[in-house]
Amino acid sequence: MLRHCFVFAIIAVAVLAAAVRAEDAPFDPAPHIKGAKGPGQAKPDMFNDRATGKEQPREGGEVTLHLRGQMRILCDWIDNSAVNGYVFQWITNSLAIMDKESWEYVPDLAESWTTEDVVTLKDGSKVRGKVVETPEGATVVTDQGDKTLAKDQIQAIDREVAFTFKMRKDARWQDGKPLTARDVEFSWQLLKNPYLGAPSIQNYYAELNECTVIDEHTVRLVYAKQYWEAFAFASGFSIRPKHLLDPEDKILKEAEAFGKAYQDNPFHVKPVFSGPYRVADWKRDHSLTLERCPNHWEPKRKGWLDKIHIRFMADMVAALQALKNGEIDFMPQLTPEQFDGDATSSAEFRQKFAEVEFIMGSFGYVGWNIRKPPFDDKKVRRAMEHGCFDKVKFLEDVLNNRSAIVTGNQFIFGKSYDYSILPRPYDPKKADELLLDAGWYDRDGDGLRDKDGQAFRFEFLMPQVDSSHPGARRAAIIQENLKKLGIDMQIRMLEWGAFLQKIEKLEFDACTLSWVLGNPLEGDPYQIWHSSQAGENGSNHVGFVHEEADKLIEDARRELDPPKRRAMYKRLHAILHEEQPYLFLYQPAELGALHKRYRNVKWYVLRPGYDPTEWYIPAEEVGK
Amino acid sequence: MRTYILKRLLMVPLTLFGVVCVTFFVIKLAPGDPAAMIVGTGISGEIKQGQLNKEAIEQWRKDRGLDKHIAVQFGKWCWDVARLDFGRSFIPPRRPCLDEIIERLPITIAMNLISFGLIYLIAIPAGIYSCVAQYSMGDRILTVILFVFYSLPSFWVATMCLLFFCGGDFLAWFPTQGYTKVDYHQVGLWKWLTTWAHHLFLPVMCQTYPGFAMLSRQMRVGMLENIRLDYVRTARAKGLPESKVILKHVLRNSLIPVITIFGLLLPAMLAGSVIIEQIFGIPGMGKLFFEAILSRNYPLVMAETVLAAGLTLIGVLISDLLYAVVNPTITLK
Repeated sequence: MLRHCFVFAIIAVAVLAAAVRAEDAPFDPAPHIKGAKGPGQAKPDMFNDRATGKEQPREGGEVTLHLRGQMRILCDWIDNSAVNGYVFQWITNSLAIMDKESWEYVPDLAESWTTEDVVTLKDGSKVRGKVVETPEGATVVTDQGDKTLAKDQIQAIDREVAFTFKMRKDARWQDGKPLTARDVEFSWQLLKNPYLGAPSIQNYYAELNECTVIDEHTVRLVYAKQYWEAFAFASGFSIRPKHLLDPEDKILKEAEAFGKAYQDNPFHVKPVFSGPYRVADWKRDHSLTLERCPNHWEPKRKGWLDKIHIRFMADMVAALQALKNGEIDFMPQLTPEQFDGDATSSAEFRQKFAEVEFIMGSFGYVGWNIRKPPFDDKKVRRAMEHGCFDKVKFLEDVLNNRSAIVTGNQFIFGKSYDYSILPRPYDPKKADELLLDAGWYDRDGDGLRDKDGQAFRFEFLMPQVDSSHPGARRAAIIQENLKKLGIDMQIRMLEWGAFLQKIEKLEFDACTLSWVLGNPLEGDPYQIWHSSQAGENGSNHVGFVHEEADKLIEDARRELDPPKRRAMYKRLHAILHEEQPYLFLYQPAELGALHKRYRNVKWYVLRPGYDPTEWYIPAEEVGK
Repeated sequence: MRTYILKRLLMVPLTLFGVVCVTFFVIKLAPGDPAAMIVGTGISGEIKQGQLNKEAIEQWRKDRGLDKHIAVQFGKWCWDVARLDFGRSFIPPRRPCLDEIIERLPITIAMNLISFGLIYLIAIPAGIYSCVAQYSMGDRILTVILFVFYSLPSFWVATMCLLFFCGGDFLAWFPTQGYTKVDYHQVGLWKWLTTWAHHLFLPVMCQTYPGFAMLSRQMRVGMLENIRLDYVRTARAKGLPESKVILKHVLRNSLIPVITIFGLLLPAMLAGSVIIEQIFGIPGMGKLFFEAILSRNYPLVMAETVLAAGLTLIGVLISDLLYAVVNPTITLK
């Protein structure tokens, strides 16, 4: 009964959504999940019943967080692990940052910025300024006055690719030295140094190919081509201190030696950046301690807690025990089993800890290798969607309703997700019809469907998990359901490294994985869905090649108007729903437990989902 | 004797080379691609958008010489090792393998020293007792206890210790994780020692208890063999007190098997226990090796293998030589 109510609720809400799909209408596709889902929704202390809202912030106190992974070096480019990604938000600055509350870019080291276009002329030269297109060609408003260009002179116009940042004059490094445009330039040069040994990050910034210092506090960065994410790249990299890392100006003169020696620089044991917290102590494989910098130059971000400790622990049972034992105060990655089970249900636990739920963009999926039969046929993939398993029942029975069913590649609570597209229901009859239609039925009476002399048999590849893991249970259910449909599915679990190799080399029939989404508003689908990425080692490992999708993806990259671009992404969502290269699964909720003594705790969609530099311990909670 | 030692010494590099060859090709031929690790740090089934891309993976391979033929890779590796260069770890920041190992050694050696010390301290008297009081109630109870210990899987015991002795709903006697407190600096030797002891008590116990059974059995059998011999009867006949008979005559002659085990201690000293280290969050050698294998960090796996194989060979050699020292009737030819 409950289940039907739930299905009904989803459908009702979705129909409602389809009716009022205005750009900014607040709509919740998964009301059963708590936590902020959109900009401006993060409320302080929403899971803490001890919070009265009348507490006064005060300096002092400490917090210890648990993280599963750990960093190998305190450099977020050389080691771009999630842990570094989190910690660097608290210890560094960049020119602009995406605000956790509003999801908009706000000034950080920059005070303000201007955006200009670049016109590439046929002779190869470039003109930068505001471009106004005219019937005869274009007029460019530049620093040196207006320039009129004839149509036949112009090779290409790239809009909004040059960003001139006016930087704050009061920004300081943690050692007290001023932070200037020279530091930005140095950081950019370092990011471009091919010997740095950070290919995966550097690949991102490949097209950010110009950085000019205009004066001590003004810097211009230019992206190579029109792209809606250009600003994110130009403003988003963390700035490093030139006076400590390259006092003798060697980065360009001895690029190779500098790049190769960079990681061995003792700076990385106890780095100095410009953020509100600095590294106080780092015990590799054990813990990292950050301490508050007194008198930080940005009072709004100054922080309250004296110290933020991070404990690295791989074992989840041990970590939960450490939480109960008072060794850690916050465990952000509880398993659904721990969250809803006996381990956290005692009165004592509930009294001490707030159980929190928040959302960060990611989704799980089953990918079909559509290069070869049987999954090269759309009807078969559609049949899989109807016949694999009942997503709603699984959500309730196994996932304890702590996930949302997704139907597309964008963040379900973002702006590019089309709510009018509903998951197709579990319907083995429909699956049977589709399979018959595709020519798959049992011709030889062996109980398995066949076509062209081939029985319907395939291998389901998944990373090694233990048998109680939801992924393993899901695989078993799919296997059972498909067996009833006359399909033989073999589950093959491989250790992570071996699994990835198979995926990279495209040696699979079906596989299951998750994607982590960076920007919650919208993500560029190029890497995962463009046909150019369908080869070996590419991220389009299912081999999705679709003419309209390719064109949408390419055009959307150049489209600077958000509503127009998001409409294109919604169209892509519809194509994916129609073509079913993936069986889209769930967007999970993050589960955690935090000691109730902390206040001003907000849960965000932007990673890592929380910001301990905002937390404080009110006077009434000291010693509790 | 001298020729024997020489011969044995000559065998060491040969055997070592064999071990190394096998390991090198086995790990290279095992499925899994170290470059795949570029996609992130976790074994979590999640890939971050933007991390899996061709250019980066190819560059990664090239930087680590993985684009070359396996024979070339092996040749280069051997040449480097011959010059005592174990290369750099594959995982950024690519620290030298030796640095990684040296960093993990102290904690592992410390834990093993205590653990083996305890094993000998408890198992030898237990073995003696079992021999002297053979088939008594005490012997039987002791035997049962030791074998129960021996059969309990350490991952289970460790998890139970965590649940029962590390706070939460039961006793809060010990910390759950690590070898020291976070952000903890030297505050005098005594304080430092007690902090370590407090943290390492449970892991060391969990690492120690399965070891009692074997050594005490070994001891018991050795003693029983000796106690029936004529010289013991003679010793007793000449009126020596029983304690002297046992401790001076029987014990000494029963030590040979114990020495054999002692020879294996050297490599074991360096090998941490993967399970214990994982559960108690101790960054030791076991964890290092385990993680290196998971991430296909070939240079690190090879460095550890060379070290472990080398030490095993030396350990065996030393115990062979010790036989002759303890018992002059054994001649080495």
